[in-house]
This record gives sequence, structure tokens and C-alpha cells, in this order.
Amino acid sequence: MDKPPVARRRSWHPRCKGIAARCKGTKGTGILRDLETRAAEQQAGPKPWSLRPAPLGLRALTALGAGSLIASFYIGTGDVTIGTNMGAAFGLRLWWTYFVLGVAGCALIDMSVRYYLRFGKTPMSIFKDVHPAFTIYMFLAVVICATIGSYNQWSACAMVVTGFFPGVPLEAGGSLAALVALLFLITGAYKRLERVCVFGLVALILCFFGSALLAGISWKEAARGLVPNAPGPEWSKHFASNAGSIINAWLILIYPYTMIERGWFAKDPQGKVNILHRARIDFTWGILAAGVVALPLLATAATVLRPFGIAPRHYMDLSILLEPLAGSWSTYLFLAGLFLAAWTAGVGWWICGCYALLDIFNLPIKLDSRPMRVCLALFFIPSSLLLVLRINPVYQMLLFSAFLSLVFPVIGIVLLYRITRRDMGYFRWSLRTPQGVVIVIADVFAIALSIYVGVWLGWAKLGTLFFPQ
Amino acid sequence: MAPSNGTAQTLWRGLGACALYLAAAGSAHALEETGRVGGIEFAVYAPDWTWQKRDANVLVVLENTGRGAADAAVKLSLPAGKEHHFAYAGPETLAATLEPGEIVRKAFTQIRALSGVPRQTYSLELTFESDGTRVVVPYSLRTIRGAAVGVGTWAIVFPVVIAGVWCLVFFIALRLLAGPGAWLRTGKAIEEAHAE
Repeated sequence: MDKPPVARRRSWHPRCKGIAARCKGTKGTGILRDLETRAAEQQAGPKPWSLRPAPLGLRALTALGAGSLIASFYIGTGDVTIGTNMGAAFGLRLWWTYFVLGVAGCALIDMSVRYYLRFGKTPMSIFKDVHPAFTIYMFLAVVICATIGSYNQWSACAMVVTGFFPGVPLEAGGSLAALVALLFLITGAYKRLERVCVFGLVALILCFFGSALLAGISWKEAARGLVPNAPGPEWSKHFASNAGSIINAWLILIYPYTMIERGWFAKDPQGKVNILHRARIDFTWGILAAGVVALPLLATAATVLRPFGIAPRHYMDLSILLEPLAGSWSTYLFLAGLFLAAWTAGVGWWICGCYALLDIFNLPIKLDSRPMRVCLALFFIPSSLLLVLRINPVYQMLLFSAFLSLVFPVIGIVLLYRITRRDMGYFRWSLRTPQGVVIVIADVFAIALSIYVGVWLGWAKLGTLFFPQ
Repeated sequence: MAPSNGTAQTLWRGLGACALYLAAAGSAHALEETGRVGGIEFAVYAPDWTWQKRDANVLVVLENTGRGAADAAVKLSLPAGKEHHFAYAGPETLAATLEPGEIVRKAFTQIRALSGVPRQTYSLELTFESDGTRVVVPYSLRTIRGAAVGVGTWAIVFPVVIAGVWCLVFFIALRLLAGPGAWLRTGKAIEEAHAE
């Protein structure tokens, strides 16, 4: 095949000679391609995953705000239900699942943060970039999940009130909890939200641990539970349920929104690496907190429910049984922890739902903006309406986890498609550095797990619900 | 590192609210009864209220404090004439043989208070028997209104329908705020957030 004239003409130039020598054997416009690639690489900056972040020291503590927001979103009624069920069935033996699944959760949040830092675009742009059908899918998923998810939390708040005062109607307690959340959000700024979440998280950890200490924690069992093991034939079901709760689709998307609120963005690669480092400390803390909270839940259920062979069907079951066995303070603390967990998770659902909707409609991602207030008010109405139905939360949990699991693999696959493209620049997949290798392994693990959760929990569970035979 | 004024204020307010909440809290409303029947010490724990269509569990702990092995039995009696107000498929009597010093935990689980009947306070009974001795523990269980829809498919369909209708409301409201076609365009994050 004849070489194109342009390549022959340039080959005598001393600078081009070297390139031509390197490209010997390549066909057609190989030299030009090489020049283009080199130019693109020079534009892209340093090699992937080659920069070291600036050490943060104690300043890392100041980054823990959004992580607490994430944790309070994580730790809701679903976490309490799954934790108590696991504890009643296997004691503390499945504590390790929180940390294994936490790695996948971290990897998924990391993907969305990398995309945001690379392009300065909002998370929904990932879906808009792929196909408009995904935008419609995400819109429906956001509204349905945020409505039912927040309703679950207000319902739990109401049940806590009923736990103390059985005469108070659920509708009143739930609507009041939702109204307080609405007023708090529409009159507040983002910084205040972070502070409240930090407080809420610390307080609920203290409450659950206080309750568990009164009931009794076996530290030896807890240490044994950190080693991966399969304690019984049904353990994989509990693992899958926990995966549906920990690998939460919205958590992956919410973190970049908090970064936008805080103005965490840089144009130069070193700045991006520094921000990524800070964000990683922050969201890892949030996910770790979910694992820490699981310990008292598992321990309490192991002490109170397991000896009687009771499988809790409701998050209030444990609190009702706690008083006679561990004293009234154990119940008070458990209920206070449950209330805090549910309320902050309800706030988390609304915030995340609103951010995602504002993002879909290209509206400003800001807590103190008019569109945000409109969205919050709109979420308040159906969440309160649903309280009148007084549906057993077990059905909501089933429906919800099944729905989330249907959504999740789609988000995971689209995310994977997007972050593996070459235009990810410094944050692209690369096996040239140890950090790059770890990133690739973590990403693949997280996506594989999300698909497993989707198939197992979503499609299988929905099938069982509608076709029990 | 000292927290900022705002953080400290929030923390103090939050702690105050928790203290008030715990101080104002009443009892968690549970039956707790201990006693002795023959050489057996027993304790019974159960909630004294439940939602209709929801399960209640009764826990029983038996301890043999005597010198020899002993048989013990606990019988749960639903309120006479109102048995059909409950759905309970478990055993009516729980029995155990206890060695000296042995502790046995038993439970009557999933006693479901049915709906379609007036809400009321029921009088149940737990009868403990050992060595020919009997002790009856009266157990009051109050019902409060439960789910408005039946369990199963409707409990799933209703929330989805409401959320589905709300998708339409959201779409109309957000389209009015954002303008037509905005949902199809991608936008820059930082610039847009700080443009206002």
C-alpha cells in the first residue's frame, strides 16, 4: 500500500524521523495518529493515577460533613430491619458483610465523584450522555423511590411515638415528623444540614450502643463476626438483603451534589486529586459508620430475639421486647436511636430526590433555592398521604428493596460504561500504577455485586411477591 | 480541633432535645410478670398493645431452682368467645423438662390481632403448671387501628400508584420551573450552581 504523500514529505525532518522510526511497520496515517495521540496526552496532563494528594493531617476531620449526611441517609429503617433480622438469625456472625459491601459502596461513590471531577458535570449527565431514555427512567425511579423511601422513614418516626404513646395516631406522628423536616429544610442552608447530620449520626450511634450495652454485647462474638464466614444455609439471603440496603443507588449519586454545594471543584489535575482524596476520607467515614451502627443492632437482636427463636417482622418488635429483658432505658435508647435514624434518613431521601430532580431538569443544585423548596413541598404531600394507609412496613421494605435492585444494575452498568471511556483523562482506567489496578478491581467488584443484587433481590423477589407458587 | 460556634450550638440543642425526649417518655407498655410455680421460677414478657393485622409475641423464661428435674408447661388462652378476633397457628401449650439450674426460653409467636372487629382491650391468660401447681397470669392486650389496606398485593400496589401519579405532578411543576426541553440537555455543575 502506498504511503500518503504527507507522511513521506515529513519523514526527512529530524524530529519526525524519530517518530517515523518508532512507527515503522504501522500502516497508513500512523505518524499522524501518533502525533495526535501525543498531543492529546500532553493536553490531558499527567499519566493516570500518578499524582499524590497533598497530606491533610487533622484537616481531614473538617471534611466529614457530607460523609455524615451519607451515613444518616444509609442508616434508616431498612438498616435497622435488616440488622435485627440478621442478629435474630445468626447473632453477630454476619457483621463482616457490612464491611465487604462497604468496599463496593465506596467504589461506586468513587466512580461518580471521578466523573464529576473530570468533567465538572452533574451525575445525571452520565445518563443524559448515554441516551434520553435513561433520563426518563431515572426520573421515574427518583420520584417513586424518594416518595416511598421517605414515607417509610416518617412511618417509622410515627411508630416510635406510638411506642411511647399508643393512643397517638400514626398519621399525626408521621406528618409531624415530616413537617418538621420540611420546615428545617426550606428554612435552612446546606451547612446547617451537615451539622445536624453530624449530630444525628453521633447521637444515634450513642443511643444504639447504649441500648445494646444494657442488653449485653458479646465482644468475643463481635470479633469473630468480622471474619468472613457462612453461618447457615440461609445466610446468603441476608447477605443479599444487606447488599440491597448498603449498595444504595442514590448514595452513589448524592455525593457529587454535596460537593457542588460545598464548591469542591478544581480545574488542574493536582487540585482534582486533592479533592478526590478529601472526598474519599469523607464518604469512607460515612459508609464505615453504617457498619459501626450495625454492631449494636446485631448484638441486641442476638441477645433478645435469638434465644426465643423470634424472627422480627417489624422494626418495633425488638423495641417492644427490649424493656422486659434489658430494662426500660434500653427501650428508650433504642427508640430514640430508631427515631433519629428514621428522621435523618427521611431528610436524606428528600434531599437526594430533590437534587436528582433539579439535576434532571437542569435547575441550580442548591438547597436554598426556589425550585428546591417546590420539590420538597411536593415530596411532603404524597409521603404524608401514604401514612393514612398504615401499610405494614415489611411490604414496603420488600417492594422498596426489589425496586431499588431493579434500578441499581442499570445505574451501575451505565456508570461503568461512562468511567471506562478514554475521555476520563487522568481518572481513566489504567493498569500502569498500583492505585490504578486497585481502582479497576474495586470498580469491577462493585458492578458485579450490583448486578448480582439486582438479579437476586430485584427480579427474584418481585417474582416471588406476585407469583408465590 | 475546636468545633465552630454553629456546630457547638447545634450539638447542645440536639442534646437538650434528646434529654427532654427521654425525660418526657413514659413506659414502653409491656407486661412483665415473674412468679413461682412448684420448683420453677418463671418470667413472662409481652407487649400490652398491638396494631390490628400485626403480630404480638409472648416470651416466657423458665428456670428450675429446685434440686431435681421438673416438668413445666405454659398454656396460652385467648379471650373466651373472642378467639376469632385472633389468628394464631402456634401451639396452645409449651412444655419443657428442666434439669436443676437449667433455664429454658420459650415463646408464643405471631399472635395476630385481626381487623374487622371493634378495637378493644382483650383479656388473655397464661397458665403455668408444674408439680401439680397452677399459677394464672392475666394478660391484657389492647388493639389500635392497623393498616387501612389488606396485606399482600394491595400494600404494594397502592404506594406505587400514588408515587406514579406524583411523577406527573413533578414533571409538570419542574417543566414550568425549568422550561421546555431542559431535561434533555446536560449542564455544567459548578458554573450552574453558582450562577444564581
